[in-house]
Amino acid sequence: MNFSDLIQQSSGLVKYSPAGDLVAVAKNFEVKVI
Amino acid sequence: MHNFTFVDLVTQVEWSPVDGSLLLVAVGKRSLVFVKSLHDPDWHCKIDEGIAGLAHAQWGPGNNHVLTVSDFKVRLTIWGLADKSVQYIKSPKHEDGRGIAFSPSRKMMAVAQRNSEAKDAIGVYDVGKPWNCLTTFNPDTFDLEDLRFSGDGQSLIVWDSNLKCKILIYQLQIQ
Repeated sequence: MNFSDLIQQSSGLVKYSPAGDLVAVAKNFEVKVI
Repeated sequence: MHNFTFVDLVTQVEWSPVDGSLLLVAVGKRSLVFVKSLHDPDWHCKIDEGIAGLAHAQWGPGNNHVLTVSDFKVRLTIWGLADKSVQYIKSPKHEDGRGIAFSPSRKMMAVAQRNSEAKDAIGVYDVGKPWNCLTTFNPDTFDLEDLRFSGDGQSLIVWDSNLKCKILIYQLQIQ
């Protein structure tokens, strides 16, 4: 799964880190940090 | 890449404000907040609001404290991650992150609250150990919407609901 797919399939919770180099994506019971 | 799995639907995700090394994850249905470290996968923290319920969670001014607001705005809880301390502030006005502000120096916190007569009140707290109440006062608001510290931390800007369209500035005289 690429980054765009991940964002689209998220449950709306997408948060960038303060430095902007990481993103946390919540989907259902999971949180992925990429 | 990190992948964290939780016991129920994730309702909130917040990076730690100082360096983004910690991740706060709220699982509202279970009244749980988890804190995960990106640098140390074995370290974790679990906060259980229990029967009070969990309406909102956020970081304090640094990486050492997590704030939660219970269901029905009964209490705001300050959880110390380093020393496992717990402190309560009664009757926060909002349950969605509004009405909580930190001074630029991160040494003070202002909280919009409801007093015993269900009117708007503001408490200013010393961020430390413990979080002592420095002052409380009743702002001249009809339905307080939110508040912020001024850039120098000497004043508090408070604004009312759209019904009143009013902005108030209070100078803090705290020694």
